[in-house]
Amino acid sequence: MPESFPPPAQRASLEAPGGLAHFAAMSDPDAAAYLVKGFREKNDGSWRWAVEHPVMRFYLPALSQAKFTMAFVLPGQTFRLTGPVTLTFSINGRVLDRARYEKPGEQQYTHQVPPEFLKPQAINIVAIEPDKVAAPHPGERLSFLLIRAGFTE
Amino acid sequence: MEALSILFGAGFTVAVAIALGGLLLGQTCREWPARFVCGAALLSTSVFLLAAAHLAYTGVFVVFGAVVLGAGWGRRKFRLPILPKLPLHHRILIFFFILYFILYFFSAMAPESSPDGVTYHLGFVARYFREHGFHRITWNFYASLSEGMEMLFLFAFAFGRHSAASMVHFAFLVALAWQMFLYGKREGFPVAGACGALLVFASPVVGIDATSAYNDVAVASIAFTLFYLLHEELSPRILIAIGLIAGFGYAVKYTAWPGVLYAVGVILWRTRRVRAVASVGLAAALVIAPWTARNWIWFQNPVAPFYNKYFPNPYVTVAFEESYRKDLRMYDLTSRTQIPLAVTTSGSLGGLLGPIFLLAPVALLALRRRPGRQLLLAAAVFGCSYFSNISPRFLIAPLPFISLAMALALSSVLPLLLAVVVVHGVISWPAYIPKYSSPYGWHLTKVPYREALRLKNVDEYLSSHVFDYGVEQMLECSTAPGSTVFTYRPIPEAYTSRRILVNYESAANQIDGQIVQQAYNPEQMPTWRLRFAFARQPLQAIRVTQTNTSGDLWNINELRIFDGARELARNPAWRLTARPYPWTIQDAFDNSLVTFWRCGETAQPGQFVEVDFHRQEIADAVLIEAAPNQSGIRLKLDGRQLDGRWITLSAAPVISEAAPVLGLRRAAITELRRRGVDYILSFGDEGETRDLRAHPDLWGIRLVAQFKETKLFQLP
Repeated sequence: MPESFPPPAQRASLEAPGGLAHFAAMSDPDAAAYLVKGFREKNDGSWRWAVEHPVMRFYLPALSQAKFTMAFVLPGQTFRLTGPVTLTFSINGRVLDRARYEKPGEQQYTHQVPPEFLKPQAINIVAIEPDKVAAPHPGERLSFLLIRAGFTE
Repeated sequence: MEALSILFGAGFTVAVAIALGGLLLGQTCREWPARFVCGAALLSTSVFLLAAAHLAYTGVFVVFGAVVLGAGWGRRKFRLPILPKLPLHHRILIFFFILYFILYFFSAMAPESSPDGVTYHLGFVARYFREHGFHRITWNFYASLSEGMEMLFLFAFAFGRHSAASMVHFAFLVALAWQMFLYGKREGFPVAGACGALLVFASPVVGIDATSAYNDVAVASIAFTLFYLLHEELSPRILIAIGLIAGFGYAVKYTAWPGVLYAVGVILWRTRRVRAVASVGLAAALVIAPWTARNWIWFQNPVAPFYNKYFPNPYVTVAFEESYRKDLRMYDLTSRTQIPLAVTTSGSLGGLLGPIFLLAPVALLALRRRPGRQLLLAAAVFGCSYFSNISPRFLIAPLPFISLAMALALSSVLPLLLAVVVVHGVISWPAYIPKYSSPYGWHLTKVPYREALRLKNVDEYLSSHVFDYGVEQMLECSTAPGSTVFTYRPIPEAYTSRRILVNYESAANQIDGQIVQQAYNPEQMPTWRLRFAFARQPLQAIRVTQTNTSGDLWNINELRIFDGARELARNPAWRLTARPYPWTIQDAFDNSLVTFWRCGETAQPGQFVEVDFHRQEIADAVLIEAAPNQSGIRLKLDGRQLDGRWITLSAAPVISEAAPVLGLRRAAITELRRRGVDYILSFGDEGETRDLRAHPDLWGIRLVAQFKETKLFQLP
């Protein structure tokens, strides 16, 4: 039986070079790197508050198909103020979909993305535009709690 | 013409075996069955040597056979016995023998369609013939079983292809039945001998097995010949023949190994001479040694594919062997009390002996007589390994002894014995079996004389008798010669020349299959992150140890070592190891999430993966990237400090879940290609490849052929 082996030749990584990847969980230590704007700066554990005009960014390799997926929460406290919410999802400036949420609680959004919406081997911008936000306190605008988001195959 | 070549192939093989047996036994034993079995041992070993020398050519076999026949011609003293005028009960028995002989003759001559025959028994034979000998086959554990019978098949295959091989196996049944009759005659109970022979001859599982390219009936014939000769006068030639036959049993099927001990034990008991025992032992070793040597050299395990815990090797894992053995011990039964009915009547374990064998306990009445005790001892010897595989096929070896003992016990009431045998002969006929057995029982269904004589289309017959027949023709038509095809399900390899990798048939194939699964199945995707954090310090080595007992297989896609945010580059001085199953440990250090190391045994405390830096490295974390389908494992991290002491760096990792990496499917296909796979087969009802069928574009594979619901995808 062989005793030991040297390290083999190293393969090219499937992960994106330079940090950004195709998916981010808010529990990740580097989650802030994916948030362009429209999120509260403070990280409250495994989720973050989206405020007005939230925008994220992801690095995508060359893909023949992709889905955008997002796990988030519409908290009961803010939902009482806003009522049903419609989120408009745009990718690289093109509207992907509008999804209406009639009830509060944890939500899972998944939508197939047309290949022409995507920039392969580049940073892709995702905007999630709520039609209304809650204002529980003066000067405060709250939309939803983001848990994780990104692209899957 | 094809029918003639089949008959010639089988007849030539049998004749050469008989001639070889005659050359060895001389006048000490004139009965052709004993000569045939003894000669088969010699012929099989000779073909092994020819195949090892890559001389497995038809011409070589012709010359070899002609020389043997020429040498044996002058000594051809044996003759078929002349039967005296027979009483009525003998005529009844002969009627049944003839009836079943016709059924079996044409069934054996019909296109080979048995499950194991068309997958591996003849799959290997066809390959050896194409390649004119052995080549190391590490991708199919069946290739490491002893193949004594396959050597005879190879000799016959050279002339008459698949059906000639089946007919050689059938010859063993004829030899067995005749020898049982001769034994009864010799011991003074010819009617019981004939009845015992018919009990075996008409048994449904014996019939279909003997007419297929299998080896179970050959083992029974070998076992009985051994028994027969052990009770002959022991001349030096007989002693050598006994040794050869005992060894041949092992060479044909591992489960016949007790025959060697039995032979040695009886010889010692009868002669009390070490020299006689040595003759037997050496002759047995002559036939056994080629197989054990081949396995040791090629598979690092002389008894491959078993006992891998004692002979660790990269080809068959201990975990697989354990689960395989477990399956064979019970199949789908819930209790061993279900075995008698399953093996005799329902056929739910694959074949049936016949309901009459529910009366087998009457054989114990034969203990009153000396031959009865000898028979039951032999039955115990050749049946002792039965519970390792409870298929009725594994009862065929002790069946002749049990049948003779039953007949002997009942012979004091001759009408009763005859009634039992006649009932058996009637209800074992193919037309009656479905009336009491399970609808999918393995048994002959008709006398296929048109198919045997090739008056009917062979493909049509095979399509109706062989599961997935047609897939191999698709491979022949749609893939280049020499291509490698991966499949999760066995196909009739005997009818294709392509290299087929079946998922479960080797450790490497299982990795291939797992690479596909983990690319799309969330349970198996490498999304688990196990992070050990510890105080930053210089280390000489790190070791991750598994501390729990569970049924999970510990696996690691990547193991990374960090100093802060910086991952340590894998230095050429590092040395990686794992216990057990070190062979693929490099796959956990190649920076690819697609490849992985998998412990070859289910989780046991003490299993470890170690990196010896052979220098000093400063580190503060170790990250393991793996699949979450191993929740039963528990890991701790130890480190070797500069003074050589091992200390625990972290008692447990922090576990988190990462998002699935994009591009895993394509990366999996690229990896399979790198591992030598050219095509993947996908069956319509197969869960493992459903995603490939649904999203070939995501995988980057191309549909190149389809047969019914089975698709063939080409890898880029």
